[in-house]
Amino acid sequence: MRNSELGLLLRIQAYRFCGVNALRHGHDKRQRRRAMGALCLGLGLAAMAAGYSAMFALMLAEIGAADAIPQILAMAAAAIALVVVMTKGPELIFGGQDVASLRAMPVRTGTIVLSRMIGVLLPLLGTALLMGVPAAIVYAMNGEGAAAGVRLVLALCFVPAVPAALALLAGTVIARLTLRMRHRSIVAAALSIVLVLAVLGGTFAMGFAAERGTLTESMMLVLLGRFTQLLAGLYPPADWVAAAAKGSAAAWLWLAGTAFAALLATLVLATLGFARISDGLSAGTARGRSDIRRIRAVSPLRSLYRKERMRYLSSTIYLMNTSVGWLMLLMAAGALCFVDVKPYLSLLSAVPGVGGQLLWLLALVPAVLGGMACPTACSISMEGKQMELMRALPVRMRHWLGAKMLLHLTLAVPSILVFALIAVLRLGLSAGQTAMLVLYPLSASLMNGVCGLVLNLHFPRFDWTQDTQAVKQGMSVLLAMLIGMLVPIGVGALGIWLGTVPVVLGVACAVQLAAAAGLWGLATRMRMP
Amino acid sequence: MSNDMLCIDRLTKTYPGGKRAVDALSLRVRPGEIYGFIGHNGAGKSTTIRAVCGVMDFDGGTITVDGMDVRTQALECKRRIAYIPDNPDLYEFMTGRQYIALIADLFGVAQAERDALTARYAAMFGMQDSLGELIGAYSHGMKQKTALIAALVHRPRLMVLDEPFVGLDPEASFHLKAVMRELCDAGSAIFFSTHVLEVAQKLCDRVAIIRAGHLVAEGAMQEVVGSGTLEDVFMTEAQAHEEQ
Repeated sequence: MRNSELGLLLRIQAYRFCGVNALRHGHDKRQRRRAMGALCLGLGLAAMAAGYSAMFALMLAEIGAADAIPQILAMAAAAIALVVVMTKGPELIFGGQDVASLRAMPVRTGTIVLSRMIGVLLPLLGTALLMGVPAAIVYAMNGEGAAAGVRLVLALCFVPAVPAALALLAGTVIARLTLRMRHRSIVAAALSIVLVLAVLGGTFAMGFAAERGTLTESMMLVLLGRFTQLLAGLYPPADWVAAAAKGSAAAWLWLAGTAFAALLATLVLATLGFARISDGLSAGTARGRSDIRRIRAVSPLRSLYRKERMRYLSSTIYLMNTSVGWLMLLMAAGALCFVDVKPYLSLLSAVPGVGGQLLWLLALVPAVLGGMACPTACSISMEGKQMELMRALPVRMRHWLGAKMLLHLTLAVPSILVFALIAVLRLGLSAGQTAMLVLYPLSASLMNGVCGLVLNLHFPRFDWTQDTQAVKQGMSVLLAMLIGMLVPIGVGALGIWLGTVPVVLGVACAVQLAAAAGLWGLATRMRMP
Repeated sequence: MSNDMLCIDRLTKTYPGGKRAVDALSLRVRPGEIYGFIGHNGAGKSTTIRAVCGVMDFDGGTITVDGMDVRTQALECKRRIAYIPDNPDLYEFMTGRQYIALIADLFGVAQAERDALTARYAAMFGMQDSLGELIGAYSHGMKQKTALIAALVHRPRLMVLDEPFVGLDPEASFHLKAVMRELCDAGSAIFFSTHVLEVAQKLCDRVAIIRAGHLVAEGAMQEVVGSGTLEDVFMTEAQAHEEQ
């Protein structure tokens, strides 16, 4: 292979990818075993995602809505691209610990940007294909033919480009606007979340309200399996994917044209602004904002908790990715204040086995959302190079881990209480339902938090160069997310199956608290990694 | 029980893959001594230092600090040690003042004492106006100075420094040497590695030269260098090793 500039830069990224180079050349057997485990887990998750996509497509086909598969796939791929790139795109393109050494190399800026853009786009493409191929097979087998299935997969490859480009642009603008702010991570995270929600919410609100009448009519369309009618015009590239799958040349032109134009514009803009944005992102807070206040002496635990809070608020990626579940819960609480949810509840009550137990099942909502991402699962990895500092200090494990747990509970407890309070006021829950709405998510949150710590102690990752690698790509993060989301879903399913949701929730509470206590004992006896 | 501040006895460390970084290394540092640890790159200096500070585990031998075993009484040992690595990766999201407060909290330093010592050492190293800024905005030397102030605030019994003079300006180097001597006069001990042989010769009471994980020379500075210089001794040892 010719050692072109782009090839060399892509090779550097490939070496880093999933620690593959360390796996090839490292001698640490334990590290190799862990990397193989992570690879197996990743493949398992990919298989699960593909299976989920196939099952969803089969369900659509079953209700006679197979023709909606292309649009739903395209919208899912676009939404994933939007959210992923908005949260971590600017850092991946302009940041990273190796950015200074890259800029010092005799390599054109455009090549650096292009190599990094490819690094961002390839996983999005992989995700689109992972979801697209199984669903396309179902689409092809439901009367559209093999050629249409292949066309659908190819058309999906163009989908992530436009949302990724727009998200990168928005993310970069936010990063630039917040550069000089002392608490830029919090402001940037808040702006990004608001923007993503505004785009997604705005699109759907327009689609439902303006074009297709009332909520009830929309629900009827869903129930009748007439998804295509509901989705038409919601997101134009999704319509182009559907038309391209059916062989429309014009749709192919639109898809390819917008994708290449968006990528080219992004490449040019990012190259022109690379130096300034990169300098800004790598600089600390503006000088001259010196804080000379006397700092009061506190206990080791409180001091470490203060450190954890500062670390948390210093990284947009860390903040956004691990607070997303709790933010969604708070937004759900906000929605409860203004939206009449009774029609939804009566619709859900019709599901066999749910019936009068629906309000008990509400306790699972904060647990599932909180389980989506837990800061403890990556908080040890986030120590990064500074881990050596911690190892050398006279710090007790229970203080070190306790500070990380306190940060987790600082996010969890107020969110759970706010949601519970609003739910009680709006839905008129009984005393038992109210108690369970608080106790079950709290016990789940305690278990998830400690579980995240134990997992991160087993699978720490300190060699990262970008926060994203520690926050999103660690084995502990994946496992903690799986446990955090699947346990409440399993508890709910078991309760419905047995027909005794309150009893199952009560038992689950006790088991989770016992598990949290046991895991805490285990974690505090472990050695610092 | 010995009255050594640091006692390393037959320390052995082998890295995964079979590379033996330190092989049966033994040395002692007594209270009041400045002990220099000299060696070429990859000789095993940093490995030894990291093992002493409890940052890295080792395969064989024992290390005691003030009579306590670093493996079985790790926390007690760490309470007596201040460790300054060669590249101080401090918490960049904290201000210098916040970082010093964290270290003081972890070592349980009283408010009045920490305030007084922070003010004294910040003035000495010219950091009074910078401690309120984020460490992320510091230069290498400023990080080094912040790490030193944080270390000195808890009055360590044993100070372990890996290449402490790298990145420091001449004035800060001068003050560091003075502080090292002051600490030793108060009964503490200093164990540090350096490549600056002239500084080591002038500053150290005792010296050890390590090569490929083995100690090749050790003793009081005067005994080791005789009428020559530390550089002569170091180069002679290097030549002898190459001939072997």
